[in-house]
Amino acid sequence: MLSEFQSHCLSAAFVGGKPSFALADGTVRRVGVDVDCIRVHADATLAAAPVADEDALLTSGEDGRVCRTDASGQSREVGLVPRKWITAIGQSNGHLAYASGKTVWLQSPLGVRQMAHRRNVKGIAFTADGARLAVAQQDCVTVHDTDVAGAPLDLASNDIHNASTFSPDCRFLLVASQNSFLHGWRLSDRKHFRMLGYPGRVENWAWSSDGAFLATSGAPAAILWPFGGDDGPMSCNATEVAPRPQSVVTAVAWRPDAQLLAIGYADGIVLLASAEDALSVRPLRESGRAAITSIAWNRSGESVAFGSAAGECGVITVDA
Amino acid sequence: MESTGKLPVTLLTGYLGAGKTTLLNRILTGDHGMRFAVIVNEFGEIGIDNDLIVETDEEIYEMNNGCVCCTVRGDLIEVLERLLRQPGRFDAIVIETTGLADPVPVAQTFLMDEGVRARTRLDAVVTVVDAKHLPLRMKDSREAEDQIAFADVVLLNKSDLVSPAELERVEAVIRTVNPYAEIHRTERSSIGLDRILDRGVFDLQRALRLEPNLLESAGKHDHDGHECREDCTHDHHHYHHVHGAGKPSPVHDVTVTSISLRTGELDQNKFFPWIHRLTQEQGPNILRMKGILAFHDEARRYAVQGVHMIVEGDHQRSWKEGEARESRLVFIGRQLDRQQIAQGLDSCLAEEAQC
Repeated sequence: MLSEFQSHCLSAAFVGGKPSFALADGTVRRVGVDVDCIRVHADATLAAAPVADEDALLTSGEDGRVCRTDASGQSREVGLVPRKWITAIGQSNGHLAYASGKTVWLQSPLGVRQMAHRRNVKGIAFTADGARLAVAQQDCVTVHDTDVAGAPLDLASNDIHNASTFSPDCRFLLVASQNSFLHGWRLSDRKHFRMLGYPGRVENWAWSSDGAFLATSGAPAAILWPFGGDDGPMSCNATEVAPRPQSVVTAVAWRPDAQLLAIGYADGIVLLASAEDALSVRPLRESGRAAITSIAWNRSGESVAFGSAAGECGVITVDA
Repeated sequence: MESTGKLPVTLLTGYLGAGKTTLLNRILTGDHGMRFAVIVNEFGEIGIDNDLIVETDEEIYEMNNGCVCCTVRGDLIEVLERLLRQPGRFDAIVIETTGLADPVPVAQTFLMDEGVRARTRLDAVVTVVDAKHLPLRMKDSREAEDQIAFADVVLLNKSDLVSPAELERVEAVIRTVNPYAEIHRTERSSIGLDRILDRGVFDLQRALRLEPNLLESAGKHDHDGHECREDCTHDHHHYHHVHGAGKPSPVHDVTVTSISLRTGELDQNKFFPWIHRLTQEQGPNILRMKGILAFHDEARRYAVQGVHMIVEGDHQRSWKEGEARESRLVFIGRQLDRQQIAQGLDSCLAEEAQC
C-alpha cells in the first residue's frame, strides 16, 4: 500500500496500531481504509518523534508549538514558544524536552525547567528511563540529569553535532555530526571513541531491542556496531549488511525481536536483512522516486511503515 | 528564474544603519510576484514584512580539514535543509547578515556543502554602504572593507547626505577595494530590484554569459612590488592581519588590493597544480578570485572562481571564431604579490604559446 503525499516525510510510525506519517508540510497522515489528514502545525513541521509503545507521534513546528497526536487522531498542544522555531524534540518516561535556538525546555513530573546552552541546540535524546538528557550542539554535547538541578556534564568534540542517542543500557552516548563519522563516550569513565569509515553523514540509526547492536545509515550497506561487550564498539569492526554499491543506506529499523533489520536506500528501495546472516536479504520495496527518510515496525513485527523525501509513504506486510 | 531549478540566494551585507533593512523591505514588498524566505540574525526592532522569516545565529564553523580559513555557517546549512524540504513554498531566499558578519563563511557554505550546493545558488552578494559614515567605518573595522571586497553589487546609500565631492571620494575608495563590483548610488536604499535580484553574478558562468566584460575592471589600478612575507608561504594557521606589508595603498585605510592578470593559452597540467598550490599557500589572503581561461587543445572556455582556499571551475561555451584565446584572472585580497602571481600564471603557459 502506497500513498503519495507530496511532502518530505519526517517520521514514519505506528500510533495505536495505525501507520502514521509526520510530514514537513505541518500535517500528520494516518493511513487505514481511508487516509486521515490531521493539520497539526500552521506551517511547516520541523521535527517529529514517535512516542514509545505506539502511544502518540510528537511533532514541533515553525509555529512554535509542540504537539502530541494520539491514537484517536486528536492533536494536543503540549508546549509553546511563541514566534520561535522548535527544531528538536524528545520524550521518555514522563519527560518531554524541546529546543529552540540555544534553549531547551524540559517538562518532567517535577515541573518545567528552562536550560540555556552556549551554542544552538541541534538534537536532543533521553535515556530510556528519562533520567538523563543529552543536548547536542556545535563542539559539545551537554548531559543533564533531568530530576536533579545541578551542573550538567559537558562532553567536548569539535564538530557540528546534529543528533545524539544513548545506548538502551545507558552506558554509551553517541553523536552524529556534519562529518562522516560518529563520536561516542563510555559514560562510566568518559573514554571516547570514533566510529569511522562512512563515505557520508550518518542521518539515521536504530538500536536493537536487546541493545546488542546499533544499526546506522550513511554507507552503501547498513552498518552494525556491536555494543554487547564492556568496551562497546572500541577495537571492534562493524558488520556490513545488505550492501548495494550503487546506492547508500538512508534509514534503518529493527524488528522488535531484533532478528530482522529493514533498510531503506537513497533510491527508494527497502530491503529486509537478517542480523545473523548478512547474506540473507529479501526485497520489501523494489523501486522509488526519492530517498527513504524513516522506517518503523509495528509492535507485532508484522508490518513495516516507510516514508520518503518526496512524500511516498507506504506499509508493507512482512511474512514471518 | 533560472532553468536550473536551483533556488537563488541573495546575501545582504552592510554595516548597522547603512540601510539594509530598508532595502530588505523594498525587496519583499516589490512588485515581482516572488515569494521569499528571509533569514535574519535577529528579528530586531524594525519590522520585516514577510511571511517566512527565520532567525539564525551566525554560527561559524571550521571545517574539519585542518584549514582555519575553510569556515562555513552551520546554522545556515541546517536552516536551508529545512527550507528545502518544501519545494515550491517560495521562489528565492534573502539572507541578511549583521553589520559585523564576515561574508566569507556564508559564501563558502554555498560552495562547500554538497546538499546546499545541489539545490541553491548564491545569486549575488549585495553590500549596502553608508556614504556618510564609510570613511569612519574603514578606519575602525576590517569587516566594512571585507564586505565591499566581497560584493558583487554595492549600494552607495544615503548619497543625498554628502556633498558631490565627498561622494566621489567614497566611490573611489570602494573602487580601490573592489574594482569589479557594480556600484549604484542610492537614497533610502531605493533601487530597481532587477539591479539586485536574480543577477547570477556570483555564479561566474552565468555572469559571463550575461556580461562578457565583467572582468574588465572599471577603475583600473595595479599594485606591484608587494613582498612575499614568510607567512605567505606555508603556515596559514598563523594568519593574522598585518598592516604595512608591501607598498602602502594609495587610499588611506584600504588594506585590500586587487590584481587583474591577462595572458595567453594555458597548459591545464600546469595551471591546476599552480592554482591549488597558490590557494593553499595564500588562501587566507585571497578574498575572491574569478577568471576565464583558455586551455591549449581545449575548444571551450574554462570559468574558475574561488573564495580563500576553495577553487571551483567548469567548462563553458566554446571559443568563438576569431575570438582572442586569452586567459584572464582577477584576485581581490590582502598582501597579494602581483609579480609573484603573474610570474606563476605565466609559468603555466602552454609550450607553443610561450614567447
